[in-house]
Order: sequence, then structure tokens, then C-alpha cells
Amino acid sequence: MTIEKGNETIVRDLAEAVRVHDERALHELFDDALTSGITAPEVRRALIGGLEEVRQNLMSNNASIPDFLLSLDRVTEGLGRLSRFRGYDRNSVEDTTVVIGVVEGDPHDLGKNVIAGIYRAYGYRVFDLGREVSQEAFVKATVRESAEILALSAMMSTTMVVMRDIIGEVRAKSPGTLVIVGGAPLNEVLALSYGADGYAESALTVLEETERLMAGS
Amino acid sequence: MIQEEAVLSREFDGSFIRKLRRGVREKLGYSVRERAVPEEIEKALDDAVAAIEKFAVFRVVYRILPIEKIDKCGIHTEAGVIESAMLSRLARQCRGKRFAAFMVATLGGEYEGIGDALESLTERFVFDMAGSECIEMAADMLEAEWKEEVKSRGFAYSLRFSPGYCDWTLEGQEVIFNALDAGRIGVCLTPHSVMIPKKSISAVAFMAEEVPVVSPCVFCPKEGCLWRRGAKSK
Repeated sequence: MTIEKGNETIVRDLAEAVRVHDERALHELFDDALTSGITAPEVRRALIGGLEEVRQNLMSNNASIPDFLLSLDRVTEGLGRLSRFRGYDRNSVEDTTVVIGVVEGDPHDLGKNVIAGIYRAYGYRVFDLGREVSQEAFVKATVRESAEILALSAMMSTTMVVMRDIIGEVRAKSPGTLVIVGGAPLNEVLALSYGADGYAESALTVLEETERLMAGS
Repeated sequence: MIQEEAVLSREFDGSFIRKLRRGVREKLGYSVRERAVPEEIEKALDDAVAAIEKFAVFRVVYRILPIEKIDKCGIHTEAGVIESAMLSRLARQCRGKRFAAFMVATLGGEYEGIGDALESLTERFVFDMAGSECIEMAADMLEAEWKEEVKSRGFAYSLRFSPGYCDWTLEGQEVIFNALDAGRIGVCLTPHSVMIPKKSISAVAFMAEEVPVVSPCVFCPKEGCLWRRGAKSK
């Protein structure tokens, strides 16, 4: 005998499967959700809910970075299947555009990839330019996509200095774009001295910092 | 004296690999007993270690040069000046004949190429962590061998220091790459002082008949510094 799960239970279990990064349970729950007529926004909320719990746990030292990345990977997989659900509308979810990349000369992109994954998971429309991105490419993409946010990453003291020029040109050509910077050699004072609007100390704080900037505070 | 310049390579034996696994688990945050390593992390670590065993080739090039003088600009050698006030203070403490031992080590490019191609952020993170831990551990292993050899010849040895740490800026890579031919082990330096392959390390250590202080941290007031290390000679 099959016991059918109610929609509320499925949504709750989806969040739990993300929290404990249970890939198999997530696959089964996706099938259940699909046949139960649960909508795309409900699924998305469940995925983010599970991820958010792990993020909060990590911030309070009750989870490890790999725990968070595992959950983030689960959410990324889940978002890839969202288009099969009723009520899916990419544009209604992804309403803030972020252009992101690692500055020229810097091949270290792991941190940037994590940040891009977090932005995607939390509903931002992300244009990831990759690593060793030229000033021209950053400015072009920011203008072309009318980006609300430009996120710049640098992991070396020798490569971060170009941020000042990139930010200067973005200010001139896309004055409405908010610039947030991050990376190992940076700190808030340096970030502000380069003309950035915000500084993301870590992948965990990037959301709050972005929201703070968007709120104009 | 040990050879003035050489290229070395080392194999990773079973004991090294076991230690590597332990080290990576700790770095990943699973050193506390109550925090079990998730199955997926254990699998990613298995894959990373298997890739290290198959594709990583640990190679080192080093060169030992006499210290010509130490002044307010830094430590002068034939290859250039190590511009660091903290390292200069340390080198000044050394007694007798003084040398700077420059070193570049790498795992080669093949291993990190595999890691960079992974789609899962978790797997990439574990691969990256395993590569970093491996190159540091391998350099430690070699350093321990050197220390014994140097000691048997009546010399002592400081800890190793890398550009980009303490008050030695990343541009200090230039002195190291002037001192030796890192191309012999396939490592190059970009105009931004970034080493390619990424899983490479560069460093200098000081050798002398007496090295009473092995780390400049003893002179440094930053008690909470993440990179603070033991200061006394052993």
C-alpha cells in the first residue's frame, strides 16, 4: 500500500533533504512534488529554506563549509529541474541581475564560483564571466545586461588593484550599478578606497551585504 | 654543505597518503569527533587522493645563495633583495656564515586541471583543499630531510617564508624566480606574480651556523594573527 504524502509534507521534506544534502531523497521528492501538483515557487521556497538553515548553522559554527556546499549543490541541481513544475516563470523569480567575475591576471575562481552559486540559489539572475576577465568585458557585460550588481573577485594583492579602474569606468557607463567586491587580500577599507559600494567578507555574508546595498542603506 | 642547486622529486607513499587524508579532513572542519564526515565528502576525498596518486608529480627546485648583506632595504643576495623588515630582523639574528635557501615546489598542472573541470562546487572545494594540503605536506617532508642534512654539517635552518605573507609582498616572487630556474620543474610566474600551475609554492629559508630565532613572529605584536608560528629554534 502506498501512503501518499500531502503537499505540505513534501515541501517540508524537500527542505529537509537539502538541509541534510540527501541526493536520493531529493530525487524522489521531486517526483512526488511533480505528481502532487506543487508549484515551482513552492519548490524553490523549500529548496532555499533548507539551504538557508545550513547557512545560518554555518554562520553560528554549527556546520562546516562542505556541509553548506553539499546543500548548495543540491539546490543547484534542484533549480535545474524547476522548469518542469507548474507556475515556472524564470523572469518572475530572477528579478535582480548580477554580473560576476574574477579580475584580469587572477586564475583563482573557486570563491567566485561559490558566490555565483549562492546568488543563483537565492534567485538572482547571474552572468558569470569566469576568471581573468578584462576591464572591458566587465564594463560591456554590466551595460549590456543593465546589471543592478557587479561583483568583482580577486585573490591576490597584485591583481586586486585593477578593481579601482573597473569601478571607475562602470560608474561612468552604468551609474545605477552597485559594485560589491571580495577576495582574500581585500578588506572593507580597501574596498571603499577602490570606490566599491560594498565588501563581501565571505561567501556567507555576500547576501546580507547585497541586500543592504539594494535597500540603499 | 648540501648541493647548491638541484631539482628533486618525491613519490607519495602509503604513510604520506594516510596523513594527507587526515590533514584534509581536519582542514575541511571534520577534526572534531562528533562531526562525522559525510559520505559525499569521503567520496570526493577518495577521488581527490586517487587523482593525486595518479596525476600529481611533486617536484622541487632549490638554490642556496650566500647572504651578501642586510640593511634597511632588506636581505641582499646575488638574486636580488628580500624586501621584508621582519625577515631582515630574523636574518640579523643568524650567526656565522649565512645563506638564503630559495625553493619552488609544484604538483604539476595535470591534477589541478582535473579539479578545475569538476562541476560540483563541493568536489572542487575538496580537490582544491587536497591539492593545497598535499603540496604543503610534501614541502614539509622535504624540509625535514634538509634540516637533518644541514644539521649534520653544523648548520641550522629557519622556518620557510613565502611572498605574500607577513610584510613580504607578493612581488617578492621575483627574487625567488631570479635565484633559480623554476622552468626546470614546469613552474612559471605571470606578470602579476602568480605561479602557474596554481598548486605550487615558493619560499625562502635562512641557514647559518646559529639560527637562534626561526620565525619573525617573535618580533611581531599581532597576537591574533592567523599565520603566527613558533619562534624559537629547536
